[in-house]
Amino acid sequence: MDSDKSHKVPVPAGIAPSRSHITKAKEDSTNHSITPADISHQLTEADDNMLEFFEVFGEDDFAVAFFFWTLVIILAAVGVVLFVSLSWLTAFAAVLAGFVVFRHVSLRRERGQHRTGRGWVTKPDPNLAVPDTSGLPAVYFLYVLGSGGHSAEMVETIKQKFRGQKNQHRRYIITSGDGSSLNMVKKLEATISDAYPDERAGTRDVFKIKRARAVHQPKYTAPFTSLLSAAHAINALTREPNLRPVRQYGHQFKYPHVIVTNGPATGFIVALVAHLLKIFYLVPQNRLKTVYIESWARTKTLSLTGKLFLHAGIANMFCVQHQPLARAIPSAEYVGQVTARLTPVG
Amino acid sequence: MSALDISKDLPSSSSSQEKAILAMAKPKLNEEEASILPRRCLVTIGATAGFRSLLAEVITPKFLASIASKGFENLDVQCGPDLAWFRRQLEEVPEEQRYDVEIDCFAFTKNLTEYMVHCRFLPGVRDNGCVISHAGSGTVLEALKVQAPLVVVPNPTLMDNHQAELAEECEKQKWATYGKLGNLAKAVNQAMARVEIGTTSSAAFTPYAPPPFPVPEAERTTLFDWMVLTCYPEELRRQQYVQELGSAHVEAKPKDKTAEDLARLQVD
Repeated sequence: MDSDKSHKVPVPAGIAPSRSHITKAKEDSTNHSITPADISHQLTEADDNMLEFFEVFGEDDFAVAFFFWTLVIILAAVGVVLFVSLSWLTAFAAVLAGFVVFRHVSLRRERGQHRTGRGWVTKPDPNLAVPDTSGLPAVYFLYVLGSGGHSAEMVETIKQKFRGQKNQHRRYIITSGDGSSLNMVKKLEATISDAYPDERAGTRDVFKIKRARAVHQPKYTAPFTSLLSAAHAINALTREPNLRPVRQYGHQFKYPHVIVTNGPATGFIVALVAHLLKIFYLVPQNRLKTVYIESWARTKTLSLTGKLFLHAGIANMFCVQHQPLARAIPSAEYVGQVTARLTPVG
Repeated sequence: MSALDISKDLPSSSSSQEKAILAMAKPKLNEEEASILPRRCLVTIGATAGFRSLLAEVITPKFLASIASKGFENLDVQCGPDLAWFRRQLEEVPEEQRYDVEIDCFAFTKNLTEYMVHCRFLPGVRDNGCVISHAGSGTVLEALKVQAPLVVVPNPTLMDNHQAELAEECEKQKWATYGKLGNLAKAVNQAMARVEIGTTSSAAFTPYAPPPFPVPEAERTTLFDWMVLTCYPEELRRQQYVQELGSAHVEAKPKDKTAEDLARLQVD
């Protein structure tokens, strides 16, 4: 339903029949990654080879398990409330809260170790062989794309940082019904494979997650859809890329190393989920490092998502791109304009 | 007299130095070669929100007359969700009030970059045109990459007028001209003048070349690679040591020596 409304471009007549069997086959599939049904609305003939771009992730075991355990925990909580005395309940809640706070604080403290700011942004000397990630067993980035400007900025950021190497995997997270971000990703990937026709382009996939709140959605349902998108986010954070099978690469590509986001609300949900997974030791501690880059458009004040990230303290690195903003927020890293290299005036 | 004419077009905030250079540049504007080539103007409001006040302004007779006198022949308007509304407005503008400016409108386009490139100088084909854009970061980034002369107009109807911040920064850094609703013709003139005298990041008279990809190693952002290394603490420590050693060498010794030392260190 959602996709029907958002993609007004009709499917060209010549293509529709050839795709219809894929559409039917996937309609009953429970997975929420981009299905060919969505793609056929957006692709033209020239983009046909882009079909491989969307990983069809098969049965969604993790989501099933997630919902099962959530249900178990809710039932257990109800049982506990009914049968256990209030004092035990309070004690249990206090222990849990204490644990969460302790883990949160220790994660934040750990984050403080790597504050090197601008020294990390570009090389002081091009002859220097560092940082070099090509020798690592895996390099896995997760980019959260938002809407319009956020996505455009993210694509630029990726272009500014990209280097061809075999061991890299990229995963893009886009929200459902966001056709323009999808087009931007497609364009970017086309640029990358033009520049690196060989293995150095690395592998990539796209994960589509539910929007926290659609445009005309009533406000009281927003918490529920947010939960749903959080569940999808868990999946996006823990699902192994199909192009990096376990038998060949082991579990090196199981979790993304770095999550990059620059301001859409989805980015906050993904980062929060990543933080919670770390708090409860559900993922290795040296994965899922979050880098928040405040939008390039924000020069003096933080955006709403920026404030959330700053106060929650869930980003491993909180970066701002403009000097006036860096002065206003002393705890932020000033990284300069990583989104674009603009020609200086003069 | 000529100096006065032009300086009227500029806001009082621009420096006297800029005015002086402008006065010198004025004769050049009148030279035939500058006015023969046609100019193109692109108005874009982005994909997310409508911006009717900007769309309404660019088809006022006053604005059209002003750009027509500067040699603009085409006006492309990207209307987003306001396309139907804009078409109705356009029908009400009589032919004689269009001053021979050809107005084209569409909702969205996949290759906005191409439209922007058409607003740039191409030897023998067209003179520098102008991109008039809402102050959304995506569009502004795109236009700055193309280096087309740019006027940014913040959309005041959006949440806490957040676009004004970017527009101010653009004006401050001289990336673009801050266009205010109600006085857009002046902003366009100012943007054109700035390109002529080279006080903006827009390239004045060079053909468009797309930015290089991959980015040269010396300019590449390495922040994310460092972040990946934090997942492998031993490797991080080793490479940080190399970096410290390297930057110490860069300060003290010539470069080839540094590279040699580093190579030896990496073998170790």
